[in-house]
Amino acid sequence: MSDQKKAPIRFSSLDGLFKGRQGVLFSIFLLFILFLGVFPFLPFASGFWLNTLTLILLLAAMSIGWNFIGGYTGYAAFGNVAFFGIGAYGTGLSMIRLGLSFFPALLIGAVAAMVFAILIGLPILRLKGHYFAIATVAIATALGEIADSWTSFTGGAAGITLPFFDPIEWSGQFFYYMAYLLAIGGLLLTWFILNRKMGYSWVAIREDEDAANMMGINTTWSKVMAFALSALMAGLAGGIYAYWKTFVLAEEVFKIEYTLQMILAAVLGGTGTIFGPFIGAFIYYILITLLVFFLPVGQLHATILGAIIILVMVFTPKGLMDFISGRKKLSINALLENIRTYRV
Amino acid sequence: MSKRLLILIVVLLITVMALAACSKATTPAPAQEQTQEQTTEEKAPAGGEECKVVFGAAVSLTGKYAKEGEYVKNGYELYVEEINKQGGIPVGDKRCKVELKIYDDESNADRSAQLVEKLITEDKVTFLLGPYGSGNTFATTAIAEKYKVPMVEANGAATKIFNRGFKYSFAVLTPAPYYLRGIIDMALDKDPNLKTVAIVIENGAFALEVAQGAKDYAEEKGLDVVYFDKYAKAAKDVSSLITAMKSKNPDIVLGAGHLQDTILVMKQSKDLGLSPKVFGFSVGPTSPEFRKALGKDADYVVGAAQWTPELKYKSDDIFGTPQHFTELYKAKYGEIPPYQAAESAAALIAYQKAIEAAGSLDKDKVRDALAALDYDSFYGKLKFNEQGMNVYKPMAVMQNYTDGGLYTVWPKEAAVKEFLYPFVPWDQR
Repeated sequence: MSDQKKAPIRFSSLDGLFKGRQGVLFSIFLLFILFLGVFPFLPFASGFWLNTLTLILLLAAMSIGWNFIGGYTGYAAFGNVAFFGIGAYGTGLSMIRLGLSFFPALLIGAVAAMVFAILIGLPILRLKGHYFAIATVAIATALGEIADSWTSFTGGAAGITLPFFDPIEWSGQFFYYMAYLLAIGGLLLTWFILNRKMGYSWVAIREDEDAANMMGINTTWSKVMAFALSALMAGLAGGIYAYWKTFVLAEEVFKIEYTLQMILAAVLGGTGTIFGPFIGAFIYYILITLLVFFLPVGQLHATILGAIIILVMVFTPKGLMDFISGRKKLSINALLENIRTYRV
Repeated sequence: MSKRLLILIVVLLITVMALAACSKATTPAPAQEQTQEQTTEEKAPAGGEECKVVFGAAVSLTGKYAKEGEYVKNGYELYVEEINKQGGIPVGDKRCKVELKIYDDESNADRSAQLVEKLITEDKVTFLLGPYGSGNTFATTAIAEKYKVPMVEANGAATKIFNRGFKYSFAVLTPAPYYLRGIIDMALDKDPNLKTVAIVIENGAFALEVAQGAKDYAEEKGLDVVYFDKYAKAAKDVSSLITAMKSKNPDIVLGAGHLQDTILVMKQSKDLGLSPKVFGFSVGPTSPEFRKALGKDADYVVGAAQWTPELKYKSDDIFGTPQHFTELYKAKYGEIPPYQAAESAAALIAYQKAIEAAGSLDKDKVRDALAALDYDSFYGKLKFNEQGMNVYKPMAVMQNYTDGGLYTVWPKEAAVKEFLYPFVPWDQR
């Protein structure tokens, strides 16, 4: 646990950034980010890989957002898809009903998601543990139903159709970079917050909320901010997704799978770490893609994916960042110790 | 330190290499399970003379549309098998072997879009076929348009797919707003004195389009739409709607929805004593489950059908008649072909006729030939309007007969039995 608390301090000063082991790791990660930055211009960057990476980067962005509330603050938010949906509908409706162009519409969608998070965060962030989890699931489900039935406003079950990105030939690149910037922005935001009082208060709340409260931290404010920022990330991702897919349909943008995916990515990579969700999103999605295309197992790939996730959960419940960052040595002993430590 | 560092570097390298390797995925191990390469013989000499045409599709083989997806795949495969027996599709003066490349989209629109990108940019398929369902079709037609690759789809009936001005998307099936036209025509043909219609609708994209189309058409035909309301998806009780309809005493009751809610509407109509002269539904009555769930209460109920094995169409395509298609399908898969299989095979027939007319495999030439296509197939007329929809093929109507059978009763010239009219009221049974 003490390692966790140190995590935010690790990258706090730029001098130490490129020194030692951490420095090497950070350099490799930076290279990877740069690689992604030039990816669309590489000769093998087919439409398929742009599409796949756009999905991964959107997932990474949402997962980074989930990490604020779920990883750092320690609140099991299971309804973040609600913000994704609000972002998608906010952006879509602003474009269709108000005739706005994409960027202002995206802003409206994201702000709507944030405002909604603040409004529902104030009451439900008083709940803890599984009560909070249930409340978030319920809200996401209810929103999906409302969007599906409120025909005069949301278009109901017929959904809304958005115009195409023009020129259509460049839409792949455009949405790739939108997702890329969002994910990078999310990483920078995490890094920025962790070195502020806000970041420390999140971790303090996770470790012991009552103690944090007694120490004079405004826990309500901190929690609501964590929730709102995670809504911001999901809302922006939803807006980009809506314009990318050119349609918004309640059953598509409010599906619980998205929440599960963002949690899974964060947990796979490592909750409460800066790079964990980002790396987790890549590992998760590439795993799926590899299973679908390169393993001759037909319909078994979902089962295999499930098995891999269970194994990761059992052996490294703190995520792969534990081993990547060198917090733990990758060995049989460490894996067994993990089981002992985190068993219920 | 070095060991852990090594592990990290390996992980990252694998990630990067996976990206790089997969991007050239045409070379490494093609996924055997998903790639349906028909028979082994056509893989033979890769000489310069060899000509082949590859059709790609992402179809739901797992997930909620797994069953329908299987029918789609069966339809595609049956056509490919038959045409390759004849040496392939005639292109100019030679024949080109046909290959299929099918991936499983897991009934997921994101995956569907991703796979169609792969089919176009990596597998370099010649032409695209459609997935199952309006949602996935909506997502994939946009990609076909982006790359200017034709897509003839057979399983997405929503018109919103085609209202976006696309040039490369075509649908062989009759679009949703036309679903209930056959039933309205048939009812009026039998009894021109019918005056009023009530319509109940499942709150879903497809059903809403069906209902709106039926309403417009009924009004065009001089009928009075006295009731028009929707119920929630997966509703467990529609009695309030039935009661409201009963108070209007409609001549015709039309339902736009799917199997489960159609059964519910029938059950509660019996409970509440709603007895119009005609009961017609968009989806449900043509399925064996409908009879199973309702028993004798299924009698007289009619349902719309894209295609039935009994239709008396005649064609010079490789299947010739719906009956011959049914025989071939039964021999290969051991069951009566559902309409999804027939329309999927019809999509390939549309391609074949367009390729023959164009005399080339050029994507734009075939697109133009598709736009100009006017062909009578075993599935019915294949002809597209400006938006790419096949509004020329009439919907067939099937009726649950009092002898327990299910027969095609419309269109008249293709029907096997007379339309039983009127619906015998519940209290007189």
